[in-house]
Amino acid sequence: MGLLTLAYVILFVSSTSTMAPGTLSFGAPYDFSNYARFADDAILKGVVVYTIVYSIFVTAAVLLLAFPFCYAIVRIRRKWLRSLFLFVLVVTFFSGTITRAYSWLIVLGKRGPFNDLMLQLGLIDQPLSLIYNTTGVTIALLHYLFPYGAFVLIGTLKNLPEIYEEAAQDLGAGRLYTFIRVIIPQSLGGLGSAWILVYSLSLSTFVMPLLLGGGKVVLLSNAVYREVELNYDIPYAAAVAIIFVLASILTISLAYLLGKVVPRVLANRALASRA
Amino acid sequence: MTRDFNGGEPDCILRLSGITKSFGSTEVIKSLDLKIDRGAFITLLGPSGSGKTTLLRMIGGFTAPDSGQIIINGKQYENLPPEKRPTSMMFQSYALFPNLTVFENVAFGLRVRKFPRREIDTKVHEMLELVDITNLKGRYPKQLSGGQRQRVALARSLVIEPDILLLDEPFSALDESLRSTMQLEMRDIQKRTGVTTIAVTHDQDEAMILSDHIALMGNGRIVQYGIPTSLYDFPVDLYAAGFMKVENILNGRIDRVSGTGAVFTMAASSLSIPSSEDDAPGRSVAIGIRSEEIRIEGCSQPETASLGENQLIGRVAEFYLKGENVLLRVQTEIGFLETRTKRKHYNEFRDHPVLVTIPSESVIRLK
Repeated sequence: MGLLTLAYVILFVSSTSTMAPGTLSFGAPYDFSNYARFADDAILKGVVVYTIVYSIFVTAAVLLLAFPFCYAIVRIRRKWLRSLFLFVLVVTFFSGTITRAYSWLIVLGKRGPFNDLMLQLGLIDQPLSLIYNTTGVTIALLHYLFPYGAFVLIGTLKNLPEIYEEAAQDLGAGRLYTFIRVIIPQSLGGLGSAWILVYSLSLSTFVMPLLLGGGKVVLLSNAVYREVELNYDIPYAAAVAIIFVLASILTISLAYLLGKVVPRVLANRALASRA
Repeated sequence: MTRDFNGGEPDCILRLSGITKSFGSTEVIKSLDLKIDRGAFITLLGPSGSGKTTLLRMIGGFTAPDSGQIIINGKQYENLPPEKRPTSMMFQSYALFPNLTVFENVAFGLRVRKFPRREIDTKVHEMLELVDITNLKGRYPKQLSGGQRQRVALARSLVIEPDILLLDEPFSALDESLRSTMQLEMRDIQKRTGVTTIAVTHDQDEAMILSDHIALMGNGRIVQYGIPTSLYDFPVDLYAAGFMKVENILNGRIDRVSGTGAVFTMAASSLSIPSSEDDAPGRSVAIGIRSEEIRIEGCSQPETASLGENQLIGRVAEFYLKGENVLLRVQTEIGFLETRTKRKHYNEFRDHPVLVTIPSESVIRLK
């Protein structure tokens, strides 16, 4: 914990320093000119906003896919089938990010197995361009984030007593009605936690856009990296990084508050209409 | 299913035939048959492991039988899930939806069936009044006491007008003082609504208070089925006698049979008992005698007392006070007998030898 705080302190101090022109060192004068520069930097501002909005969509997609999947897993009766699904989920963790990114490059490539299959089935006339663009990044990112969301949701859903579903069925509700009216309202807590985890990971993603984006997909971490590697403007990069950390904290806190406030509002409205 | 399986028994609302169920290698229900009439209150009585809860769940559709048929109102249901059955279960833990208010909980079944809003309003309010919780309609389950939750669960099940109401140990979660009040209320509500009810319990007294008929279950079978007094006065076998708390069980032989009854011998003593079919000299039999049927009085001169039929001399070995009664453990030549008497009466002969009388008509023949 202490080390982490120290790192942030160093980062902050660096952000207020200035690059000595023509050299590789930075130091005085210490001021907030880097932050001012950011305010005028349309491109980087755009990247910050894009990263935040993009991450919202990606997180929503991950949870939308993971939730029914996890529900199915915890309700499977055959032990071997459930273990198989869990095994598949865990195995994806064992391959590192870079390995996975390159695997997607191979699978989704113009002459890769996916395009081959689609061509053979006659579903397309020409191979689809699925890599070195946002599509490729999104597919790889969804695949990467899925297990994180899934594990949190499986934890929540596993603790949901089956008796509520039995009660709903007993009163005439089919599986879908029960899922929407009973399961989801009681899983909001878990969904909130899953959101925060997946969203944070998505905001900070670096490898997927880098390897699958073909240089065209620039998320915040990539932008900061460029400032450091290409422009070698460490103070500016540090400033941007700090701004991003603040922006992330802001959006995550918003999500957290929403998770607390919305159920309360709905409950009050329900009470008021029945009183 | 359009085939009518009732054929000539229009009052039979539930018929189970040939029901079996195993979990893994354990046979929980072994070929069970049961018929229940409309409007009756039936209790499945038995200890844990007797299969009673499994049977209830099979009727409700939460577990499927391995074989057999479940026929409700002439239609077959054994392959259908709970949402397609005309039954409603009140779970032991009540299972009220925590995210819904009392009103919304009760309205759930009607909303699922897409009743119009006004009708839902009317029906729910009627039901809340019936179970006497109208003032709680805006509360959430976690704000309610155990007794209140039970009423909500009952209202929720009744409002959809099921053909059969299933109660899973309905009073086990309530404390003693609340239990008797709720039992009588439940009985009252059942009579007023006329809904056929099947309850599961291990509490013999509860079964006796609530039911029209009791199905005593043991080891996956129905051991005895009848009105409460018939189970109490005439348990059929050792298991039933034990469960119905017949205190004295004796094992012996038939000595001889006559027109009026049979003679039972055990350890050189004889008792006159009611005769039964297949009674023959030498046959091993078991008999039961309830403690309240055994008469006891003081005997000042045991050596010279003249003993009538079914009378024994005894000595009080232990006694327990219970309200106005005293429970006595009396040592006699046929072993220890449990009996009871009023405290005032006991004080007349305490510390003396006693004369014990077992009226032959009170002896229960056990298979």
